[in-house]
Amino acid sequence: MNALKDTATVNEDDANLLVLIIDTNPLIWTKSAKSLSLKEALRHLLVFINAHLALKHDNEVAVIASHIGVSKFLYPIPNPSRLSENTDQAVDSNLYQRFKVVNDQVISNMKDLFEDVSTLNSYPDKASSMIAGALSMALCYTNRIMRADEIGHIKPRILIISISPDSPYQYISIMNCIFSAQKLGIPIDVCKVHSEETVFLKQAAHLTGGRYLKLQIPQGFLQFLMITFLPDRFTRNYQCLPGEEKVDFSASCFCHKKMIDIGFLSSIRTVFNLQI
Amino acid sequence: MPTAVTHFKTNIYECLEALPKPTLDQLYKEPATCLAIFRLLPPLARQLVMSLLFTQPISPVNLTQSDLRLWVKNEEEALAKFHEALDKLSKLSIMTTDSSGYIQINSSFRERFQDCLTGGGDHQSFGVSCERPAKDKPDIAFLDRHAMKQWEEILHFMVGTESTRQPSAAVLKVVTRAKLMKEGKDKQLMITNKGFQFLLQDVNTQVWAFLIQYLDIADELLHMNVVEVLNFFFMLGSLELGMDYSVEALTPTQKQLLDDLANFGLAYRRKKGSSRYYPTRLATTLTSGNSAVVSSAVSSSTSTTTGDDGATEQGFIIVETNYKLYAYTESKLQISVLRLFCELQTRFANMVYALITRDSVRKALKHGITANQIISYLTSHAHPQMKKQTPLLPPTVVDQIRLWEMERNRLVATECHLYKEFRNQGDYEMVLRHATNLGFVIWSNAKKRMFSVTEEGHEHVRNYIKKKIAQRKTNGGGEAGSGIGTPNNGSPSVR
Repeated sequence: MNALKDTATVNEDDANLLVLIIDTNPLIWTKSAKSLSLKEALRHLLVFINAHLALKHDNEVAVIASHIGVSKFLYPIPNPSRLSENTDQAVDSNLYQRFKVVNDQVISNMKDLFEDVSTLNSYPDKASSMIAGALSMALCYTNRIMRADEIGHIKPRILIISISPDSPYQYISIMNCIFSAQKLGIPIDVCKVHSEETVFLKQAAHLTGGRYLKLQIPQGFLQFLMITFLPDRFTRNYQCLPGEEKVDFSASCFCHKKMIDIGFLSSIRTVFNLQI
Repeated sequence: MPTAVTHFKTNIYECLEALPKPTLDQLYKEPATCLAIFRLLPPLARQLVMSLLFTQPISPVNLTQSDLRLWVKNEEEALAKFHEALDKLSKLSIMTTDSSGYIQINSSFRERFQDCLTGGGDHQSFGVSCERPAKDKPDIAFLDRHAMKQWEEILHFMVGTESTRQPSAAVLKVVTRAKLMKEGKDKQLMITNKGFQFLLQDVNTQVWAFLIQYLDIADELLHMNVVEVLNFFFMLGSLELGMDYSVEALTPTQKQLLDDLANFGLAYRRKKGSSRYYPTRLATTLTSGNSAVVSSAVSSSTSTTTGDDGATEQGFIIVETNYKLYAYTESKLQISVLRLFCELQTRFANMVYALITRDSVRKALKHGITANQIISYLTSHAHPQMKKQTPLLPPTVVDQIRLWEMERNRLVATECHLYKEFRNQGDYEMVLRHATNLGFVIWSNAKKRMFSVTEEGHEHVRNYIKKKIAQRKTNGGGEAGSGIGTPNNGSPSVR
């Protein structure tokens, strides 16, 4: 946990890169639409992104959707040519240009994602979303940005907005992601919006020195985000942030992909249960 | 680089802090201004504002300062930062404590900043773009060239490079008022020490220093509204480089401003009556507070296109441990800045070779330039090759420059009073002992029977001697006491 108390490495003048992973599993969002629908949540998230960009001139953001069967970048995307006719031309004098570009792209890419239902139908496991895939994309992206930045000026962090339950099938890949994040020194924050706690992500937050928080009042989503997840790595050194300290370290077995309480470890570091 | 950045920040910050509360309230009516001022705050203050910004709709929260204190760790450093943050916030009257001890966010700031983040309202504070597309839009490289040309013309004028045009009236007013230049013997404007210091700053700091002076003038001489002027500066900072914006949406004051700013190189207009303007990089990076980024960005686009002054903003200086300095530049401006603290040795086609010597640095110090300014100049203009090594500058050179500065501080002048012509050693020692015990003695010499005391000790010592003389007189009037030396005002003494 304290591995990332980085007073020495983080500077006041450093820019922050926030990689936001939004779990867009449509089945769960519709189930819980009464308390907080995806549309509403997105509205809160966009303000949160704007707030992050407002903190500093050179703050950066990346948004990844973790959907059923696929993870996709919502911002930035390689060739926003398709969007050029409605974003680049129209300058909204009521909105800071930077905010506008990001918001427009996130919204329109999100729309595209939901219109494309082919992957959704073909994928068998509809209960969970591709968190592991999204996490790897996020890590690859941050790694690229950090390498491109020679002077080590950019300090990345990852925030996962999670709604789906854990998928034991993804256990190994999530763990691998956690270890690489740990190695790169990137904290992973998790905001659990609906449904039961996720053990894997709780472990992710714990191991990387991030924050795990379950949303208690859905209407106050933005306020939860602002207080807990907005502080950059520099201010975190001085702030007491809410979050959970109790972590469930249970693993899933490699053979049946089941959550287990007692596991057996072989010499090549694999976890088994004994239901053969 | 860090020092320069803080310099800029405190500068504009101090300027804002000095404004009365009603003026600040007026300023907070523009979302763009709110955003720019918000970015000037220290990190923890920004976080506090963000945490409280959207609390109102859910339930009116009443928090006291001690409630907020719970948000920060109970460590000395954290608490110091916390109090600094609250202090700055209340000075800018963004967050104040009311009579019952509750924290209040300035309501107009809250509203406008919320608008800024959510994109609500119809305030048009982020610049109104032109409806019709421009016929031949200048590209970004052109705008950069224009900005650098205009700005360097001012700097060239200050250094007195030949073949520079007389700058506009506004520029002249600013430089004379800021005491960057003053009239010499033959009514010719001459650069002052302050002007030299100004030249050593990075572009962003220079621009701000210039604008703040301009603000002063605008208020007094041109009778412009401070709020409108500041709003315009901050709006320029939020515009997008390479876009065209409509002049018609501006107020008359701002139109007048635009002419002057175009002169400084902050904006570009095709011709005077043109209906659109283009902000340049000097303007769009105004509020970023990150001058290093600015200059490198400017250089990357200019160096490829312009041969003459292209290298000026890019790092071009290499300093070696043997005090040799190589500057890859042809710009007369940069060379004359270097001449301030270096001994130029050889000039080649694309580079200058110079030496940093004790004499050259002392010359600069005499001009009122500080060692830190020299070091920060060298740091911020270091060649990309130099930037790869840590520490960036050779420590020997940095230390030596600092030592040379300290050398000048060997003498300290203190106002004092000199006591001399004591009749005998006994008297001298008695008075000296008394004065030493009280800690007034600055210097003493037993052979010459002289010592000097501080200003505040003078009265005391004199009274003591008078008392002693009076005592001796009553004791039989034999010897007259010690003579009191004429106090010698202002003689410096070496500590």
